Amino acid sequence: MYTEVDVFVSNFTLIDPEIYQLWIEGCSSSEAVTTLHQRAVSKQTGATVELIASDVLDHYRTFALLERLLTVPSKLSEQMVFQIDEPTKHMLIEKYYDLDDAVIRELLGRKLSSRHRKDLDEVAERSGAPLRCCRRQFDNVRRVFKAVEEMPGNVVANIRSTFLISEPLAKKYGAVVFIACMRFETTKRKLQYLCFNDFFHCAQAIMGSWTYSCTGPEYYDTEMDREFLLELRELRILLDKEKEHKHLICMRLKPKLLEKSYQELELNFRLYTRALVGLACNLHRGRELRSLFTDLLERCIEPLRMGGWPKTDLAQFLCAYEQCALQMDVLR
Amino acid sequence: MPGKIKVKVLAGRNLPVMDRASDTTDAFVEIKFGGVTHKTDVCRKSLNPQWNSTEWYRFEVDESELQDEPLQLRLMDHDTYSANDAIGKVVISLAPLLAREANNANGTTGPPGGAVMSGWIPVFDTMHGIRGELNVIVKVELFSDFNKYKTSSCGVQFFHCPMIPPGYRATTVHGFVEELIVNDDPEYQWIDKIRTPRASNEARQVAFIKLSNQVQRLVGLKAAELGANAVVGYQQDFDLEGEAGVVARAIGTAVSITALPTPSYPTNIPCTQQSERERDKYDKDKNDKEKGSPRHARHESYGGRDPVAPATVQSSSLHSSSTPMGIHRRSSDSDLSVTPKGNSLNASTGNTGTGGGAILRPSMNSNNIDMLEYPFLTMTEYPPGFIVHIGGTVCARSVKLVDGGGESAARAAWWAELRTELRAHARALRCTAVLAYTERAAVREDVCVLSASGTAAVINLDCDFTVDEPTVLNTGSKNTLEESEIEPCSIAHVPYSPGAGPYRAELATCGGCRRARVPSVLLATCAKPNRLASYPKAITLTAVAARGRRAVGAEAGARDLSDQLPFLEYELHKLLLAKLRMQGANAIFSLQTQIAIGERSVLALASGTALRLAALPAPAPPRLKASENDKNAIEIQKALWDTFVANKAANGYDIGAPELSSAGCVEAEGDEAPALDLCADKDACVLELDEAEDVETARALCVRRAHMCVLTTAQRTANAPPHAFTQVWRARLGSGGASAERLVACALTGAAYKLRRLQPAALAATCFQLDAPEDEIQLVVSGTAIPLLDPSKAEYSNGDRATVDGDDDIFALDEEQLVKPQSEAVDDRNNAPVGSVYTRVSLSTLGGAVRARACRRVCALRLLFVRETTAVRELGGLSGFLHTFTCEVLAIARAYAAALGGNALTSLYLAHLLLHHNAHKNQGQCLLSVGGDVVHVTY
Repeated sequence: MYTEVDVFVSNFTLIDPEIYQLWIEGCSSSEAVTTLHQRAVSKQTGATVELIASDVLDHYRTFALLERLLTVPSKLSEQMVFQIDEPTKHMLIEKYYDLDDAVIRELLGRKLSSRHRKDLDEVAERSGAPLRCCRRQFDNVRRVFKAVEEMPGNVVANIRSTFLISEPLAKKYGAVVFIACMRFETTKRKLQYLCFNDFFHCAQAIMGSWTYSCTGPEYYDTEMDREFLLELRELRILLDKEKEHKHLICMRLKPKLLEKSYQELELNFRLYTRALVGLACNLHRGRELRSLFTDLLERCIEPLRMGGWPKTDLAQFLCAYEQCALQMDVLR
Repeated sequence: MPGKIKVKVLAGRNLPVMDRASDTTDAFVEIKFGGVTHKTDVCRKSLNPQWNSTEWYRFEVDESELQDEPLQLRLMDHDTYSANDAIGKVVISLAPLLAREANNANGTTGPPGGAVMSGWIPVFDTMHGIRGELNVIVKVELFSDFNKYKTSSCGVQFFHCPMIPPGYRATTVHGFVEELIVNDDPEYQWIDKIRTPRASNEARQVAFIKLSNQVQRLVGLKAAELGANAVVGYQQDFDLEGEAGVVARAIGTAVSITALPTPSYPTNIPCTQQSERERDKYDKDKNDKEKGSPRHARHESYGGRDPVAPATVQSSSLHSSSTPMGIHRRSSDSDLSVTPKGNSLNASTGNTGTGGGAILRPSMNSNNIDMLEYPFLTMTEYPPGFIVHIGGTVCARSVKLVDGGGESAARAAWWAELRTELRAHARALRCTAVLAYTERAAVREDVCVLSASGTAAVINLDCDFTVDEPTVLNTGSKNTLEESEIEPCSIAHVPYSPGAGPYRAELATCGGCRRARVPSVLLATCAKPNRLASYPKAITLTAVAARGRRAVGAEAGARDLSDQLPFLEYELHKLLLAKLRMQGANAIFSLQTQIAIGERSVLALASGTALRLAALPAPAPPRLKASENDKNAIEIQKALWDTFVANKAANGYDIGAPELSSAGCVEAEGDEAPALDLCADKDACVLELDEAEDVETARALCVRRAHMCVLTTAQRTANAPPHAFTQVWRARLGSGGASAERLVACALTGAAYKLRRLQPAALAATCFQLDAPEDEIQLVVSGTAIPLLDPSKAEYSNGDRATVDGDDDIFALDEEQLVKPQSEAVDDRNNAPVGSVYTRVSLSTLGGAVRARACRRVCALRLLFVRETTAVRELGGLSGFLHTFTCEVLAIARAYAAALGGNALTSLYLAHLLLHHNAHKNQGQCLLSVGGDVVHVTY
């Protein structure tokens, strides 16, 4: 018997989170049926494949209709076609906008234009996620970027209010949007080993400290504080007063650091301080700013790595570096 | 009597982009009623236009036009150089507003709120579906008119609700009203060949709405002539006869109702579900064990009479002794169900008595005679005491040839014929009335099968509509003599005396009173009367029979069909009873049968709620009749036995009556599987394995399916809105009826699986519609899942009575309609904060709201949509197309309900699902009508 139509519609739209998750993950309906059937067999619910298939197809049709609304989440509350309760609505939106770290890492630094949508095969291959899933995330990132790029005010708050997603997820999008706005170089082979969380952390720090801090209609926190970057040039003086700076740091760190690290610090302080200050002084130039991550890697991280610094020691060194510089008369 | 319509269009939202260049739309609205059209300004370049005009668009029209014509709002996109593009339409029937307005004018029964409809209504386009929403306000003002010869019936309220609506009291039941109109179907007019699909679909949609309004108006007129102010149990149907046109039919029961008075008389209500639950519990106490050998008899007559429920005969003396209080019927002509012809019959059964104050007193006028010809009531649920005996299901069918020229008179005559036959059937069962009466028609090209069916019953017209049973029982103070003496099992007693039955029937002694006679199996189209004691669990039962058509074509086909029908019905009945037995049940209520004519086969579907009545004997286990050394048969017998036992255990029918454990009446049933039956030939529980088909059937009977149980009074419902659903299947017809049978049987299992997240829940009012278009079978199942309290959770005692009373003072507004026993019922089951409001619109196929604290009836609503697409593949195939369309239709129904001031739609129906598909053109077309009663429910 060949079934031509099999449709189940209920007044309150029922969403099965399990099936939704499979759809989000980019499973085709037949893949979803197979997965669910395996689960059903192990759980011994006694549901037949036909029943599961019919249910999955019902859900997939609903999702296809919902997807149009999910692109503009505010419409989901306004629309009258589906009667969905609030918690489910939140779940739908949150999961739809969910980001896979592996996929988003691959998307960083890519041009977010529809032309590049076709080239997502590579992303799918590298991240190991299905193409459909990559497309969804690409489209989401593109949509969020386009929506908030020109919007004044706090970018995370803007994303939250426009797309009705949770704070942590909005922060992720904020970082992605910020990195895209700054056009930071992130795709160099050398940077490949960095995961999305690393960039997320950096972007958070930069957004917190280097952008205009006042919020208001004219201020965009996706824009660098130009004045601040220009002022960074003044740091050159640290190189002139290098001896004093080094002395202060050594005084402070001697009891704290491992012997080996301390030795390394004494020996190579000049190298490190030059790299750091050199980087800072050039940040007002657009190109230098864009290559921030590459420069950081090449000029700071690699020498530090050669020095074999333990993590805690390095953290203490950088902390002391900042503190001591602030103590110096020249910077007061 | 003239009326005035005032319309205001406030705003639109989420409109589609009509101008690709600027990604906007220049929207304006054309407001049309009858021949008059108004236009709003053009709101340029906006997808969320605001018209902000303070202006009301007015139409001054005649009242009958008000009832027939729909108000049409057409949303357009303004183009300077080319023709304006249509975005979509909002079609509003004014009938719901009119009933309210008229009642407000009278200042009597009208629900408060005035005749205003205001809110966001989706804009529907027949080619694209929903395209944004319009915020409109529609007001209707009527001028009173007491002209005797008026052609309108504005004051009559309509309820699809198959009982006296909760919140109202019936003062008089006037009787059966029907109407029929034949019209052209615009789809088959010559003009359809030259106009665009959109224009054609819209014309069809409007024509159907007009037809529907018109037939409602005429029914209302008939009701008004009888002196009624409302029509309950209203059913409306369309027969699409293709070239021959379309027939709009409507039937209903004319009643006079008044809204319930303030709670100072809280007991004066008609039946409500909750109140009847109390009753049910009471009944169970009186429950007794059942015994006797199950038998079933069958009556058949050429011309297609449905198997009348096996019924029994009882002696006059027994009868009079078992019901000493007498059945208070009057044989006077003023009584509803007594016709001159029936008088003698009635007298002979000795059912005449001295009546108390007859409340059903149809006003005497010449029109009454016509009404009295058909003592039919379309309601399925009745106040306690109304039904005295149930005789059984009666059905009459006829096969007719549709001949081109559609004439109303000819069609009306066809139905009159059937009704007369049905009345004769009821008479034969010594019954005075037919309850839960329905009419159905199946049309295939030129051939159509008309069926009329109902439950023959003896009714007590003197039943006091105003005294509520539970109150009587609980307080005992208001107890009337007759009420206290009527035994609850008497409903199941056969109404005729032994030997006087129309056919040989096996009888058993009533398990309740042990005196009267009861049939071994009871089939009824009405809902289970609540005073009838039963086991707590009920299940939905379906059966499908199919036969091939040997001849196709007009006359030959019709003749063949009429030859086949009796066999089809016999098979259907046999299967249904076998299934019933396999479940260990002995009664079916809410039985629906329908015929679907396909190109090469004819199908019959029966569905109903099976349960086990305490008064009726327990069903015997199934037995097989086959030759002794048939190993196959022994195997099947074993399987059947196992299934029977398992089903019984699952349904809880294997123990004695639940609340009677102390009586020690648990029946000793054979634990051993019976051996093959070799000799018995008349026993109905024996299946004969003569043909391969029978083996197939027997095997199918062994399959156990997980069912969702049916909502019964014993279950405790959770404080959640009902969850209406619709499921549509369409499949190529496999070999004969087997595939159809399987499809239908799986239907509820599928629904249970898909509603798994709602568990625990019970199903209620499931409706099956079978069709056989284009040699496929189409099954539409619509029902409602009622969330139940988790039995694993703690029991809730009735400790929050005080809370409810406290709230009553706060919700003074609701109190007016507050139904006291309902609130008591709520007390018992309450576990959630009282008064929580659902802002969403809930849909329910049930007639009343479950667990509602108060329920204000607003009006009846009927909508009809035509949708077409030329991109079936793009929408995800035919399933995708239908899925989208159904979602949209439900959404629009919800929007109307909300705009009319309700928050729920009860007695929901989805009907006339007509799907045409042209795979080569990638084109699909679908017709769907939806409706119900708009109510405002306070939970």
